[in-house]
Amino acid sequence: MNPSSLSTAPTGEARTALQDFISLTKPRIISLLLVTTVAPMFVAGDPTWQQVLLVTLGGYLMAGGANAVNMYVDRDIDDSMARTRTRPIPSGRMGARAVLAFGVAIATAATFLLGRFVNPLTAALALGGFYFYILVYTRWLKRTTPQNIVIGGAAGAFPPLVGWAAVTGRLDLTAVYLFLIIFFWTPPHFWALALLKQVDYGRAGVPMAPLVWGERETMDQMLWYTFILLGLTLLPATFGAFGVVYLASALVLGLILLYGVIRIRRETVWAKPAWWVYKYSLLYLALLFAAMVVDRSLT
Amino acid sequence: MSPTLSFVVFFLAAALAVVGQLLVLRDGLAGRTPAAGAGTAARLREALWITIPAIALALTLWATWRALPARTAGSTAATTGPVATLEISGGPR
Repeated sequence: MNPSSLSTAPTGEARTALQDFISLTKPRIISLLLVTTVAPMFVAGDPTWQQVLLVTLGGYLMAGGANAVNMYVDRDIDDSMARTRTRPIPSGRMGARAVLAFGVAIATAATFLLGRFVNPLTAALALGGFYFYILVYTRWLKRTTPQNIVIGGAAGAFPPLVGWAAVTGRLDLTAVYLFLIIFFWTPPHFWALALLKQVDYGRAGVPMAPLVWGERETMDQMLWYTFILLGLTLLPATFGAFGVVYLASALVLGLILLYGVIRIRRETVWAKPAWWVYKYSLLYLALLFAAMVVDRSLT
Repeated sequence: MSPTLSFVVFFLAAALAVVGQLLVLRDGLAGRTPAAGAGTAARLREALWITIPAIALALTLWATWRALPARTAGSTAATTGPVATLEISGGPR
């Protein structure tokens, strides 16, 4: 017997298990959520590095827990979609109950961390986002209405409230704007992906907008929501929340997004512009929040 | 930003947002964005889902209008404190 094979096999298994646990939290998606959590902290005030570290860790654990529980709830349909087939549960690498337990455990740890070391409002808001994502989006709306993305988008809009509350201990009009910006950003962002993955969603029985309304109407809706988003992103500058640097950035970034959405509607082969909008919208949100921080640091 | 510019940006941005929201409502009411299921209950739920964001937007625009510096500067005598504040306090630690 080769002794080295005895020592490497468990290590390899442990590594795979670790990778699976990490993948349950959807780290790539969380990275943008953390940008929209941490940036508002620097807009709201002057956070200490301990506050930033605690909120980042708490935010990661809460969002990661929500993503893991989401994979537990969606385990019956994940196998029918190419995008989700390789997840730990449908691929048979992890048991459903273990995933649920993991998700609940890290969300509980996040609640304790935020409640004990940051403040109760921050913990309540993070937990609110968790429950909204699991109960309102995943359990209720995702499989019943094409408006799932619109209302469900509120779950992804909690992070800026968490960051804001961590520094100020309260919410105000600027925080509401940060929430609404993500809320109205979600439809054009996610429907670009839904247009591209509609066969997958159809196979899983998820009534995404392109399947129920048709591609053309979905593209129209993307445009209407981009109008709302563009308007909303400019408004915080009017009551003094941000200055001219932010206003100019929001206008330019928003006009580029608007152009991308118009291209989807105009071109007969819309797959390429739809991919572009999906990817650019991610960058758009990160840059918009970065512009808020830069603007605040200049004033 | 000058109060005049604030006013101009407010009206342009609010108009853009309101037009977008009205188009969403129009499509919903005209049946262009139907519900996934059949029946009156599904249609009513769908109407509710498009109305909630519209109400949130209207309330936010109203709060923003009340917070405009030019407006508050011109009516300081009429107001007794900061306007358009929404505070949910959790106590910073």
